[in-house]
Amino acid sequence: MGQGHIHDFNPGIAPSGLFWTAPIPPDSVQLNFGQVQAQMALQNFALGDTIPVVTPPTPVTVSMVINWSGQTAELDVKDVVHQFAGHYRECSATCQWSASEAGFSFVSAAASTSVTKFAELGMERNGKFF
Amino acid sequence: MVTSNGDLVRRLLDGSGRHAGHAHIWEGALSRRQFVQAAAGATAAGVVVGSGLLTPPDVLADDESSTVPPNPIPFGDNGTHHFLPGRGKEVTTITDFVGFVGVAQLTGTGTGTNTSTGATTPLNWSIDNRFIIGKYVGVDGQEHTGTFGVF
Repeated sequence: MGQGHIHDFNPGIAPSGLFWTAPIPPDSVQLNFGQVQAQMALQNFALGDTIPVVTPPTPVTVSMVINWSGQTAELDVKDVVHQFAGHYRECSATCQWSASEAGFSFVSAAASTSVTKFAELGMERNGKFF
Repeated sequence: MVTSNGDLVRRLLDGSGRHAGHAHIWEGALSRRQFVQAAAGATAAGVVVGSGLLTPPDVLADDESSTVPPNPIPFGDNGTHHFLPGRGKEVTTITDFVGFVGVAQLTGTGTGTNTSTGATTPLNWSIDNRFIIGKYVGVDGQEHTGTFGVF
């Protein structure tokens, strides 16, 4: 794929172990589960660039629009080992995004050129709700 | 029929509902007030669950503090509290959760710019980005609703 991983944008791992997860504005997600359509749109969302490795990570702002659509499969899962269950609708997705940090900026090609490796929408429950 | 948030949560909780950035670049190639405001301005697609219509702010109604941190799932790949994307894998990264999730594992191309020199470079990217919308038990032991992204 390339010669090196030169940037990695994420919100970090919390001391609790919460992994790459951050609150986002409620209106940043639009979801029509029945039609298997969703969009997540964020503007100038603050993350950290963890490559090269520096402490603290380099501040970066990221804007993105991800669209999900076109069901390709549907399945129910009940995993008693990992204590979660869900109903999932696999689909395709596209993304167009950009990022900006000190000394560097990035703009992706058109959303239509992105390639889906895996995408799905789901209803999921775990832990005390399992 | 418009399904209420309570109906949705009950269906998810009791299982009666049938339908019950992170971004890499590679070199080379709600509060009630917010709910009311959002609902009043919402004209885009909502959440359709069965025959019910919900918007994400509906799911987030009745919560005065959606920023209480959640707890991580107890399991994960490679020693993390996070599963890699794939069929049958748990999408959410937070535990004691019930709600909606989406995951997009994608690749693509783009252009990087050294903003000091103006030099541009073609770059490849990959993402595993997710959203998580629903009810969870926060680190305070209380139930909350919230919207989260995984990047």
